[in-house]
Amino acid sequence: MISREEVINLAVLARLNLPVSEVDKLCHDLEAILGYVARLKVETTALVTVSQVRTLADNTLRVDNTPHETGVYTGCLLAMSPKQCDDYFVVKPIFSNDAT
Amino acid sequence: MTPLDLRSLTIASWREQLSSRTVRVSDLVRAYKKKIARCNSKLNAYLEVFDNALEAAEASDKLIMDGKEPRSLEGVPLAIKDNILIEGQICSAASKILASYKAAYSATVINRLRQAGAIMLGRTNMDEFAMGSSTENSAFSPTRHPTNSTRVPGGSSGGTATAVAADLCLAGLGSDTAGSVRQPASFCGLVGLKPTYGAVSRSGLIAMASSLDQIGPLTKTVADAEAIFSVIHGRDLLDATTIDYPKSGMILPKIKEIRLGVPEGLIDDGVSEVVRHNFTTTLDRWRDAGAKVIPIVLPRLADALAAYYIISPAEVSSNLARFDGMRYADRVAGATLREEYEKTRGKGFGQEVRRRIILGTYVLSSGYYDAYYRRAVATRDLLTADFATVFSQVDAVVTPTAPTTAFALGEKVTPLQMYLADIFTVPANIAGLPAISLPNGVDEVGLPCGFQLIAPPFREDLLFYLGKQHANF
Repeated sequence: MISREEVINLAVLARLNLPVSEVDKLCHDLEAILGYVARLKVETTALVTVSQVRTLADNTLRVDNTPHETGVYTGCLLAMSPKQCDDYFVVKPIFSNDAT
Repeated sequence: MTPLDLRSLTIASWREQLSSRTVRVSDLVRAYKKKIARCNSKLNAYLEVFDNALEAAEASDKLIMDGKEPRSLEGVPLAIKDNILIEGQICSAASKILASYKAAYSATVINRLRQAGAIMLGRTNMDEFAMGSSTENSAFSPTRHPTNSTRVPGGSSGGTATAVAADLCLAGLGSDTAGSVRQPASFCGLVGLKPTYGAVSRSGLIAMASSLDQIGPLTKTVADAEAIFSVIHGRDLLDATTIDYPKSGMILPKIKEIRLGVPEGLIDDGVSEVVRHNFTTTLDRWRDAGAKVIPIVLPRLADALAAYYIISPAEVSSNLARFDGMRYADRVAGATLREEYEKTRGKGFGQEVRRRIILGTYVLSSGYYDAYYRRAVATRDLLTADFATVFSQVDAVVTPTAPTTAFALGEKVTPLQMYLADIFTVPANIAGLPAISLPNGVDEVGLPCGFQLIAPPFREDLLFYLGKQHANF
């Protein structure tokens, strides 16, 4: 059973304001979805060996180089941000975050 | 100039007319714009029609008047799902949080289509961030089915599907994470292709679940899907999961040598009678043509959807963390930085997106990771291995595309009911395989059914070959 407190805590972790009216419904929905996905029964041995199977979706990292000229997108990216100053995004002080 | 019949027009027939210099691209674009102006308020397929489409059409006309050979997609007006970036145009993923976001660059697929002469006609409606199977989850109102306004067009690429089926464009692009190209293709009587994972670049596609997403075409014919795929596929340095597309070097089998695998027990439960009937009738036609229809065992096939609803929300919760009001979106003011994050995301994301972020956060939480995520990834790997074994016995796996025809707006009241609409399409995403949905008759009120073919990795050629045979039945 997923409690209201758990859902509220997950919302905090996800940095997501949830309407109070939605919390009970989410408890119910998550319960139903997790009940459905619980059908997955994978043997412990399989859990160990499958990590050695290479699939098409294995993570692949892009070569760490410069894909384009530095600064070429700066102007249009900043223009899309809610608040900017010179070549920077303007945000609230990060450390005040801990006070909440 | 030859009068344009939008209903019967295909990319192939357009190309013939263009080569004979009997049509103008600008006339075609004007014809679509006129029809969109007449129909879109009812259908809500397009979120925006681009002003510069006519300019691009006139450039194509000039090129042809100058005696240049038309390129492979010259003057083909396309509808583009609203999660594929086009430089300078709004790309909202049908979400309030990106309602005013303008793309700083174009997706690789857009650049490749433009180089082939295609014209971007507009951006189409979708389920918010591609989360849904009906296009009801759009922040900008649902899209309607092209022939029955009480029904959904499927989703999440429902805007593109309706635009193609209602002749509001010649073809279009969607994205497919669990069936979002194939299921709306099935509901709207179209061809929909989900390419092999790694065949088409995802650079410039707003990510939903990165290990599952692929861009694919929605078209009226198999040949049209092939024409678009031939332009958009191939290695891209901006998407490291793409590879040099292998030339198969394999001779396509004669129809009498074709072996189609039907997973045992797949259509026993939860499948409407008409879908089952049309599916088995089509199998009979394949048999009559000489193909072998072979029962196969894929014991974990039914687990694919459960694995999907762990892997996908986990990736959603990570991918959507970037939308916090600092860089892309409108920001909701708060007393602290955290409060601004929470308010912006709470207001900007719709209910289904919030649900999947919370679910993803849960399955990745300490203590639940092994129980859910690790188990789901193991299921994915085992299912992939199962498919590899099956493809040593058959050339392709066949299923219905969706368990029902287009359902009514508002019919699916719980998330799980909606999720089950993807039961047949999701295995191809989980295993990274190419799959195509083909029109397969209609139900008693004229709503289309779909027939799905799944092939081994990078065997899109086989899907196109079999798809063209299917169209002859």
